[in-house]
Amino acid sequence: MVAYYPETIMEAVSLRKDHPGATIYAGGTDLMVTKKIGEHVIFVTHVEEMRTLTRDENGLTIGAAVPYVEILASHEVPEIIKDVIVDIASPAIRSRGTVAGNICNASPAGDTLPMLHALDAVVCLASAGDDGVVCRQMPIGEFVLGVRRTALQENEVVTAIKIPADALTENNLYAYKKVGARRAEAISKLSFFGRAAFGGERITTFRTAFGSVFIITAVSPEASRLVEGMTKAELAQKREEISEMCLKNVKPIDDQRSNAAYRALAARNLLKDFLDKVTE
Amino acid sequence: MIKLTIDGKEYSFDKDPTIRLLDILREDLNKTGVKEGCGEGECGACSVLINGRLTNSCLVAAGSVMGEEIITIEGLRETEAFKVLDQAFADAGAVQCGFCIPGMIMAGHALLLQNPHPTEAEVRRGISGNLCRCTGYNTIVRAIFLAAERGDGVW
Repeated sequence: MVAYYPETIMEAVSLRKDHPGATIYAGGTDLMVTKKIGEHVIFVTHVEEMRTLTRDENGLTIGAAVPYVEILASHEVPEIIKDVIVDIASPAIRSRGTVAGNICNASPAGDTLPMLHALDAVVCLASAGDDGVVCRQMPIGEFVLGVRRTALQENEVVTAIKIPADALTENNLYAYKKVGARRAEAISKLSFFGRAAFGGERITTFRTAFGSVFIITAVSPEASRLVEGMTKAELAQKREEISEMCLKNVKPIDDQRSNAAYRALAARNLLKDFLDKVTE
Repeated sequence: MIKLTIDGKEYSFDKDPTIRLLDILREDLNKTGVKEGCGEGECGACSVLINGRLTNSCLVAAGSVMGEEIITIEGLRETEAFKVLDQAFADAGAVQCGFCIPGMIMAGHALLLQNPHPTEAEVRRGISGNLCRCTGYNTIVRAIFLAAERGDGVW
């Protein structure tokens, strides 16, 4: 086992270039359980550039090494995001776990994933080029590909997650629920995050995202396309059709935490509550 | 070399940097007050403070906390905060089998550091990552309240 301690993003990406596929360790709260750590491990825990949390006119940027506890403590972070973060695991795990780690772990039950989908989050990826750090950005929906599978290339490092300002303005309405066996330390039976934004009479953005009901987060771009531009009354009129669209990718299974029938019903009910709120 | 600051002392270990901090604490330093329960971050028996934050030492690679300040239950023993918590746990009858108690004390201490006068809901959230197999949660919550009351000014 060889460990590396980069202090900058440039050093981190150079290490991934020299050791393709080296394990990237941020908070370690998943890695230390699965123990899937390769021969080379890059500790990004103390990369200062990845430990910053900033909010500006473009939105919120959460550095890949920022632990959950710092998101909860930040005045820059909207309450709706904190509502999701505070439901994750326990205080001790929130002291070190990170959003980037939650994404890269790519569990179907990843607690941050429905929120990130519904907020149109973007993953920032960096690699070493000839003249320094090369960055690319990818929507969360393109990044998580399957169970424990992501689009992260062997030479890349996730440096930050960005949430666009549009998703955090006051004309947004949110609905969020994590359904677990207990309040703390639960791996979700299912979870839901919905968002609708309004411009005057019309719905300008419509997102629904379900976790733990499919191998990846269940979203519906078709429903978004259909609803955006509608008034509340038009949505109410086409509600049945839209509901079925939103639930199309909800394909739950039976496992030790729950069963398919319960998950399907609970997903339907959470969607109903959200649509009630949107059409209210 | 893994260089760590534990309970105010500096140590160097020639070990695999992904070894669990818990193993260093128990096996190398004989700080057996730090317990291993589940080994996967669910029970909180191995809780320590790292830079003042409650952390599961079973989920921390020793190499990832170089330069951070690690405090175990054994280091906390020497403090006024511990004396207040210890007495409060005894007086509240909060200790049954005792296995979870080092973790509960660390969780209580971490909470009071952030929030010296918590509500009941905040205390319950503060210890929500610590399991008591004897299920004596109510007395543990009471003990932390008692400590907060008696230890006014300590945290």
